[in-house]
Amino acid sequence: MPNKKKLSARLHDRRDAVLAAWLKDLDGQLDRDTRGFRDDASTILDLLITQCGHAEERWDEAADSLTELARARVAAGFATDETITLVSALRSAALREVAALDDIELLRHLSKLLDVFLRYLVDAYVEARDLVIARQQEDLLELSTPAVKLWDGIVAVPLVGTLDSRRAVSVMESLLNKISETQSTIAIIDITGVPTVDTQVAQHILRTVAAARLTGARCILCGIRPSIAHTMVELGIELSQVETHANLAAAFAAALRSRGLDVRTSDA
Amino acid sequence: MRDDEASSRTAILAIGNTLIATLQGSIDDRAALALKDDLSRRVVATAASGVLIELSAIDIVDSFIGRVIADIAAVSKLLGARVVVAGMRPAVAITLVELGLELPEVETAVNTEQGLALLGR
Amino acid sequence: MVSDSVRPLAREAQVMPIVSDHDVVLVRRAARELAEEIGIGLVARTKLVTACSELARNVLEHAGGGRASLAVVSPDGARRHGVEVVFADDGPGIGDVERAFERGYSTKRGLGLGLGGSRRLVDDFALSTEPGEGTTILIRTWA
Repeated sequence: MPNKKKLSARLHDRRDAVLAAWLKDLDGQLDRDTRGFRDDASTILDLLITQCGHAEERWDEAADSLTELARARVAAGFATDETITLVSALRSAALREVAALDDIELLRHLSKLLDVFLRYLVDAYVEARDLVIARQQEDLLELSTPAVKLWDGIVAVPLVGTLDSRRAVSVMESLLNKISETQSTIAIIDITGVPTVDTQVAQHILRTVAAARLTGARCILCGIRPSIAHTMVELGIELSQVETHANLAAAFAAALRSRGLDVRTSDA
Repeated sequence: MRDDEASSRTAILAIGNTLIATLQGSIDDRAALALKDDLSRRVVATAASGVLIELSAIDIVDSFIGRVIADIAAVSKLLGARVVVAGMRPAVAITLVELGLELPEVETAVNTEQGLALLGR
Repeated sequence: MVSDSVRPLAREAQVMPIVSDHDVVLVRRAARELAEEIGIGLVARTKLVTACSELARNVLEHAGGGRASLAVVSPDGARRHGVEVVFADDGPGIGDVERAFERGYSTKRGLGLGLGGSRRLVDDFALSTEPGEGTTILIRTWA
């Protein structure tokens, strides 16, 4: 297409004007200081100009750079609507400059290119944000499954919320590491805060029990609610090889007893 | 402690009625099989009542080594000795369970001290 | 722009022969080094190294030998890295793939935990085989 050169030349010549118009537009629309964005904006614009000049559709390089730029936006705390504002402002600034040439074919071509380009930018932004969310979820996961030492040789992990596979793995790691770190022989798993126990959750618990046993600790299960106990029986979930107690206090007392300890009211 | 025939052989230590084998480093198949033979011979020779396999220096146990350990437990039982595996690392335990090898036939302990206590020393 | 294609990093894949027990140990060690290099956590690393041990032994027992090729890979456009190990042999291949994954199934000695067990230890697992055409198994663990 011959007009590609013309398009790229036009944007190249008017680069500073497009950039200025874009940033000015943003200043009016975004509730934030756009000065820090100046360098990135000029990189994005140059990418677009290069892209216009390509004889064929080649997006690899642009995609990589856009991903980098999107990460920087996410790190700077840009919200989705701000990113869309940013992107549409570039669109109008670029179209305005080319519209002055009064060539409908050129406009149509730029518009098409912009569509693809902006989609890449938004995709890159969404992907970068997903990455941050995934990382935060991982952090939360670790925070939400703390195994604690209750006594010499006794650790416990209180489970709260839905026990999906990822959390189950995290619980297992946290508990086993605590067992190893404290050289404990008894591990209490308290499921008072677990809303439902299906076959899969039971499997996770049994695996944790098996892994803990391999490291040398015996698991005690507690906090099975009556409704859950009913469901478990109906589903035929078999936990008979695991010692169970009604609640954490009973489990702790049993753990102390099996360590040869006794809790008494003092005589004073 | 007895002399090792080859450097890859696992040393077996006898304390009273208990034999202690400390596995180390990247144990290969031959060394694992040698340990199985050595241990059963020593159980008979010393009339040991307990065998402690110390794993804290081992960073992977695959199904082959896992099976060797299970075999050692089964054979020792026939020869009148209990087997305790001590000091298995968390990552190794998680991997073994994931692999489907829960070693129900062996007893376990968090460390050597607990293992010896379990074996009644 | 999210692409499924995965490309190896600039560094060449490391190809190692598997012809003896000791090679199994060497493949294990090489996998561990790559996993440490790209920061794969202890548990995932232990699982990967164990899977390598299972699969390398499979190659040895079922095909009489073969090779492992190890590389650090990265999906296009993403910053995450993974360790990829490909086990290949020119052995008899696997006739009934479904059965080969079943617990307790094995055509040779061993507990038959190799294939099914290994699959549970890694993030990605792909097998291609034909009777008489050998077997190729690819595994990946992401950092």
